[in-house]
Amino acid sequence: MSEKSNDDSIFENPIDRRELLKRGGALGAAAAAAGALGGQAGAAINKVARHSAKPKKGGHVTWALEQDPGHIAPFGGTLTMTRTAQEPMYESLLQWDKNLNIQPALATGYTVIDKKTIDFHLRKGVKFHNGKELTADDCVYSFAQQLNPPLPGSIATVGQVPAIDSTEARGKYTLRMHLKAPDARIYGFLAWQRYSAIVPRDMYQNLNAATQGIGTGPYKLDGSYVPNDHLSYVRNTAYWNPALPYLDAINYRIITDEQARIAALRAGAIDGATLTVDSANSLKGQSNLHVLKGLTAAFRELQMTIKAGENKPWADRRVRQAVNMAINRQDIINKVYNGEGQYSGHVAAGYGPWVIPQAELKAKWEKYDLPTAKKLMAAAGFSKGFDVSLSTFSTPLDFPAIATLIKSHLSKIGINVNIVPQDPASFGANNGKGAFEWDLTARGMRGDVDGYVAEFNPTGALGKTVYNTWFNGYTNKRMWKLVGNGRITLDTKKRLPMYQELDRLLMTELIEVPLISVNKYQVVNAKLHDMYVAFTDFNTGLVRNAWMG
Amino acid sequence: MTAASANAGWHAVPRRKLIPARWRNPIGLVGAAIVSLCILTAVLGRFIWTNDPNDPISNRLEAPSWAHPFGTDDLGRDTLARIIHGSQVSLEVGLVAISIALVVGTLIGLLAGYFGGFLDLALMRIIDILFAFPGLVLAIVIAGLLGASRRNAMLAIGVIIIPAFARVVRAAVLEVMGFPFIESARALGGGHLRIMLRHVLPNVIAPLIVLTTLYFSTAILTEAALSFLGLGTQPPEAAWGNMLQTARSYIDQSIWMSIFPGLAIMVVVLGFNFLGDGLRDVLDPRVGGGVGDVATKK
Amino acid sequence: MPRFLLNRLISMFATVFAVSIVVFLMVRFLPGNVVDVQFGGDATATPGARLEAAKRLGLDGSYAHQYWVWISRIFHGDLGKSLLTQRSIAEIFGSALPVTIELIVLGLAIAVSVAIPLGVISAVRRNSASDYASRVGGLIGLSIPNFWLATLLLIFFSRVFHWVPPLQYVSLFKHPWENLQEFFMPAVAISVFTLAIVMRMVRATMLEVLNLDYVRTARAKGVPRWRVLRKHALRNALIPVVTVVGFEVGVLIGGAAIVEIIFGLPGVGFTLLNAISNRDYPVIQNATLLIATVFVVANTLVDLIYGWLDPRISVT
Repeated sequence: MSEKSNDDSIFENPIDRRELLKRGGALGAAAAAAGALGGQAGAAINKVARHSAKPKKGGHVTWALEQDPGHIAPFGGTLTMTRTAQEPMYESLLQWDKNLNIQPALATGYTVIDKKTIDFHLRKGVKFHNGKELTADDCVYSFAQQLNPPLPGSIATVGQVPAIDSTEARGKYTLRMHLKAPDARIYGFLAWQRYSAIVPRDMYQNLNAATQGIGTGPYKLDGSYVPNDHLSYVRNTAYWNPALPYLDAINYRIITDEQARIAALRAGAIDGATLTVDSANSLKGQSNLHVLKGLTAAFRELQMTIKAGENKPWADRRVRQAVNMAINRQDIINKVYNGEGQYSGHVAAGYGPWVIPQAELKAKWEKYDLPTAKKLMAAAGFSKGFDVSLSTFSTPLDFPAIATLIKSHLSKIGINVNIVPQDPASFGANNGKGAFEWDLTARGMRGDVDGYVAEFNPTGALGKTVYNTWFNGYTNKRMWKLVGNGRITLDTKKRLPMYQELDRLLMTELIEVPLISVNKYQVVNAKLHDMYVAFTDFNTGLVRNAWMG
Repeated sequence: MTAASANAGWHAVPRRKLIPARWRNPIGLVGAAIVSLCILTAVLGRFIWTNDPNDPISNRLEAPSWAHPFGTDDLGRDTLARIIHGSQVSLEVGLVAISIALVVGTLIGLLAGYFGGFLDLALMRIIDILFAFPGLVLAIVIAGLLGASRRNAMLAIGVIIIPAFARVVRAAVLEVMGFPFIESARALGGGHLRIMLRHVLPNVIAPLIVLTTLYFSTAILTEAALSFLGLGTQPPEAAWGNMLQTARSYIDQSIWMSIFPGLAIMVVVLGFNFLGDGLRDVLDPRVGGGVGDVATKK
Repeated sequence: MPRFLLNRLISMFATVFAVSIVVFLMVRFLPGNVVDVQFGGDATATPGARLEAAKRLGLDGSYAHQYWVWISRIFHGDLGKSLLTQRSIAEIFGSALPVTIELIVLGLAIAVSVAIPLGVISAVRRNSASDYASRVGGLIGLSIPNFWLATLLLIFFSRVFHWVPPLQYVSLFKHPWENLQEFFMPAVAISVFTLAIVMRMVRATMLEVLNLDYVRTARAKGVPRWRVLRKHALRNALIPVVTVVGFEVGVLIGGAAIVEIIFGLPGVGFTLLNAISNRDYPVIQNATLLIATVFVVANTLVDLIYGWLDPRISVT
């Protein structure tokens, strides 16, 4: 799909782009953002398993998922794995291609009516897996569920949903969306697809959405999802894009133990799985297997609380800068990730033009510089250092490992780090309450760049609570303004410089210290061609690109 | 119940005359040697082998060498230093957990056995609740529900061992209570506390020593299992159980990471089991079986 | 006797009831709840949103109310649903129980079938090399952590025989051969501790029985040695063994929990540990209650059988 489409084919009624920008700018924002995203993110997506001119149809793929998705309900899934598991069957109005360019999906185009109203033009003749045709009515139902996910979904995910007020059907193939406020996040939200699936009207009344489902995607569910065991998909022969899918069937098996996945790969019992870096590298010599690696949006970050009245050493910016300079990111990459990873700013490395380029991060903002760090500590009056507790997840194991290295690095500027490992639920509870001094935590994929910085603005709906919990002892009006305006600025050309300034302001202020972006490793059957590691952390390469040769 | 009958032999003779030959029990001596070595390692090890167990000082995943006799782990930390640190952890867990069980279990057993009646009934109900779970499952539930940390793991292990101590002490007390010297003590106007301390408790000491030694190994094994499951000592701190957990990810690259912590657990637990068995032969040769058998479990 | 039975029943019921209260309260004292798990470390939630999420999951009422809802539903045969996946708990257990039961039965079968001959040989050839070997072996069996043994087995079979067990859980009834291959290593790993204990017990009781008068008499009368062993000695020696085996079921349940996690077998222990880390209250509560009930019933049965096998022991 992505290869064929050009700007003209996106829109049923092609509209002049300049004309649109004048009318509201939303489309321009989306299109420009999409194009721009493609450039940088494209570079991040590394290796494609063997190139071939012509994909072949047919073949079965058995793939091991490393975690049970819990359920496969389309709305309110809190685990990335939930989306990965349902990705073959559920789609949204828009989609990202592998370079994160926004492409049409169930909508062939959209018209911006005004700053708070958008009409989406639905693709005609799209059939759900039950044979029913997709109409605007189904979309209205689906958006209502997105805004208030039914069980087993959690309303915890609503924070990721942009300011959609309501939707209405204007005829069979036009969906009108009303926004509460101008919101630049809307297109990314739809293209991400994680929380924006389109399902047939009243689906929840007709089946158990936790284990069954009806979508429009290239594969349909074969039987039911069996928790802790498997879920199977077969080709949707009526898929709206006749070029897809390539595979006859995808059988997801749930194998949580890494050693078991390795053994299964060796034995040829599965055609692919995600592994840790060391295990993936240990399989490099196998002729029947290919090791793929790719950057994902996941990165690690050191978070600090700056609370009013506490006056901790790191309330002084110089101390935060010293910490940033004393952490040897390359050492972390070498020891924990076998030498493979990137430096990360506050926006995930590889996230289009919204990030500070690697070279600039390495040379300037995240340069390992012990002498300057010591000087800064001395200037701040902490030449003797101080004690601090650093909470982190006890699993996955790279968290305590990074914490160990940070402790070792910071001991050189006199800071004595006391590592407090916690299980994920306790960590989440304490993090949410701000009950920590420092946290070693993670960030993941976001539908829009705003998702990475919303917490730095105490006036936004999302940032209000978070900011006051973590940083209420810190004031920076310029920062607040940039974050607040960034979200409602729909013109990418105006938006981009705001985020470029904000990125660097955040690297100067360092109320959070981003560390490193990590690669994801997937090992696949050598016969599986054109597979790639998706930046989103889903398994889109398998669902849309890979084929068996 | 069965405990009373199985343990009856322990207390028939209040003061046992120990024949010196019995102390020359080879299994017990081997056990004592291993246990002493373990204690020495825990106490002195870090002064002799001075590498920091948490400092990534070397290359990752090295095989054993003169510089690192047990190799290095996934971060380049010295495995021997981590094993030594793990021995401190294991002994600490054993000591704390056993102390909890010893104090609480002995108290419950003494009170229940001595006073009988309603108190006995009530205390034994509590013990029944603890006995309503298999030991490891109870430890998993308690450690999981208190929150994953070594302190909570020690508490959990202590709690799961309480019933064994309580029952054995209660059975022993019931046994002793039937002897004439208790009645004489009472007739002479001895207070409850005095009788318990002077006449009842000394007769319980022999089985308590054996139980303590045997359950030390249970405590160490259970802590290792909990740490392995992520419910005990939390990484990055070294404990044998969580070292084995980490090692599982590196089986293909470094088999050594999986070998040494497991060996350490096995050898130390074996030491305590040998010692316990030896002590049992010495203090009461009539009781057969071993850890977890009828005599000690129920 | 009926009065005694009634007492035992009441006592069992009281124990399970107490367990239910303790577990109910303990899960609620855990740091973090399922809502925190869902919101994750991102803390994008307002307190209002958290409250709303808790309300939808029935976590907003008083403890007394929540407890009542749980218990009264159990009496209506409704175990409730998982907070995280909304799967029915009866269904979760329906798929988890067969795994655990099979593991325990296999573990027990391996342990008993190896332990009895070893114990007998050890007793008959007392102080021989084979006796010494099995005694030391027994102590090693008591000392080796089963999760380590599981890892060693996996390494050993994959390196030496290039064999790894099938990785997907398959039902015993659908694919018996695959299923048994899959359960072989985990069952061996959990059986070793029990094997050692049963062997030591068999040896000890055999030694005792072999010295009893009627066995000596039988030998003196010229009854063949193996016949004496089988007919007279072994049968009597096995009575205490039955009890040990009964209690070992508990040890095996514990061993099964850890081995299930290692081998990714979706049994009760696996379910329980996942539920604990996800703060899935109803699953934790019902799983612990289930284990407690099974265990208490098993213990009571063992006591009764023991009393019935050996009338000398009064079960009071």
